[in-house]
Amino acid sequence: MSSGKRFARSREYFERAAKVIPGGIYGSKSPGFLVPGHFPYYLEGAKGSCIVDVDGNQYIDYLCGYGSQIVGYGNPAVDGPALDQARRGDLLNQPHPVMVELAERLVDLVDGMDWAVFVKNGTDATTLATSIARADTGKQIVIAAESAYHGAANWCSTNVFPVFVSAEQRDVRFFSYNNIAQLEKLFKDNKNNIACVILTPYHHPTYKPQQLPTPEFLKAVEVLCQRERAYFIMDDIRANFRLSMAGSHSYFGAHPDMATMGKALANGYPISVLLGAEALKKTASSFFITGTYWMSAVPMIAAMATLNEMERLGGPHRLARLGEMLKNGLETLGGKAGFKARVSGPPAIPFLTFDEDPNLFLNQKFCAAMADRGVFMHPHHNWFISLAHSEEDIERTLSAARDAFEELRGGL
Amino acid sequence: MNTTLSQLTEEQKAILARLKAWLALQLAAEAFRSEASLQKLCPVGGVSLKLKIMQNGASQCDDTPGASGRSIASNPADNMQLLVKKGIASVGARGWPQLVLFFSGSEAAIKVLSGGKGAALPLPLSPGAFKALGFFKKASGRATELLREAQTPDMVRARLLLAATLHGLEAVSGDSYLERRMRIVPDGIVAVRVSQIEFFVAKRGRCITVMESAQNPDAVLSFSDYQSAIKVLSGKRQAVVALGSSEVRIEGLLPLVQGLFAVLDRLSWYLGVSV
Repeated sequence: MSSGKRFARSREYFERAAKVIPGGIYGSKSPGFLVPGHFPYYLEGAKGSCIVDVDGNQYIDYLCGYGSQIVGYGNPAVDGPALDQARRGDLLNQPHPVMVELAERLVDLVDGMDWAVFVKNGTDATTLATSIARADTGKQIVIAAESAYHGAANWCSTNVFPVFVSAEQRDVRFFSYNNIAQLEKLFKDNKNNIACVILTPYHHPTYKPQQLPTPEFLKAVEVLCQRERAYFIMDDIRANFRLSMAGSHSYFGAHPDMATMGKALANGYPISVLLGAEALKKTASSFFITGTYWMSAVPMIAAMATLNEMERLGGPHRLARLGEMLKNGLETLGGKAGFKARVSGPPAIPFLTFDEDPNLFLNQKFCAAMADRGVFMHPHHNWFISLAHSEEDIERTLSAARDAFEELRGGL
Repeated sequence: MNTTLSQLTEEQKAILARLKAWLALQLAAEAFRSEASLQKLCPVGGVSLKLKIMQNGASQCDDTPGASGRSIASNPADNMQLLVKKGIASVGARGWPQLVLFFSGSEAAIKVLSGGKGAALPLPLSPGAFKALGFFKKASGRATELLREAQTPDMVRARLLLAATLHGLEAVSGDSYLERRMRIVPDGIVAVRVSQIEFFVAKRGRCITVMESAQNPDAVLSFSDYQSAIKVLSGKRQAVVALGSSEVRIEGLLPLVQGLFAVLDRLSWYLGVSV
């Protein structure tokens, strides 16, 4: 079937959208970020590990709502209590008691954290974390890794316009992830001016292979922060609970002062959290922290249920096992077809690239071929395994991949 | 929000003047390539004409690509020269011109090159100077007509629009407004294709250069046909909609192409200035 027919309704909606919405679909969901003609632009439903687009095409999904789905779309163990609360009221004048229960649970669960502030998006949490670090230290400079994503606020986004430079972007300094020498130089050059270092637990830049931290890197960050009296913030929005129920920093043996979590926390319900160590609680208390929807009850109910369901379904251990199966299968099939296909990152959050093609022409062709075969794998953004994926899903995916690699080989 | 000439800073006026001059030269060369009538009108000895804008301190890019030697931004004052010789038209620094057309400043250049009144002083340097000036005026005027006339073949119109757009990127890439943005865009070469037409755009540092050939581009931006290119490049169809319907395709190093879109936005801003 031609792409015009296969995605007729997607295209129709997109043409309408472009008239009334800037860019039609803005940000990371823009069609240009995928491969137009091979991927849908609008989805209308999902169940378990499967998504359905507005034209009725079905896909095994490896994007999982950009990581927010961890126990499967439409999981009744989460949606049941969440919808029940929705019927009884979501956004109330005062917080629902579940806010206390969720804070207690996360503080108990996540290594080294003593308090919790609930927000909506990852950007809210990372912006609050860097602001608290700046307020507490009285210092201005934030250090981050090049190409790391910490949200869409002006201080950390690619919205680079001259008008933002002096106020918000000037005091953020960058170094190459894992490069201790560069980081040491930044600390030396900015001595007594550094408020914090914000890092993802491992490096997951868009358009590039993922990079795990070297054994000495995170330790070096901690030592440098302690010497400077700067804070170490672990931005765990993307990976949280896929590597460890105690936080990804626990998985890598790191000891941050604050950690941000979101996405998988409530299986797609809108909530993120900033967790912090006792030493920062007083400063956090002095902040006026609020947002109209930040204390809504339904996402918190969903978060409690999601944590239960993650534990029941086998959590990070099961995700790693499924991820290994996918990684090994893809690398083997790619090799057999003559490609240097490499899956980087933790197995539960994999990303395939081709060593011979850093510009990702092959990624785009491969993922387009997979989408044609009913498997949604993003060509530029890392993938996610969920606890709803089954071994049969992985086998079907590898079967499609065998054909996709052959198609690639034939096209060269 | 419309911007008027009087609202521009001196740097912006300098860039706009440079842009207008650069496009006039490039489009004159393009018109010559596609129009047999212009080729007949060309003086026998060829044409060599330079535009010189006095006190034009437009910022330049910080890296000089070596591939074409025709970059405006690397040395705009020297490169704004039209050369037609032995049936081939090009723009760039090519020896002593027959005539230099001086503009007293950026505002004068902007006004004259937008079809308005302003001072332009021709300085003849060799015989045939005024024939060269006459030819330049005819070729520039013909380029404008070709863009407007309904009977212009699609291939010619698409090529002119593409040339205007890509050379426009060259001219504005040194704008300090884009400096930080350009720093986060990866360097590389984009092949821009529509049917038989192909240009290559190189981005290195703050500098953008249009080339006619290159090996192994890092990204490819292609239009499905001439009509799609014309609609998008003339603003009749939103680029994002064309992308969604696969009339425009982007392959390879996406951040490079996305970075060029930011320059394209800046180019549109300059071209939208009311003179």
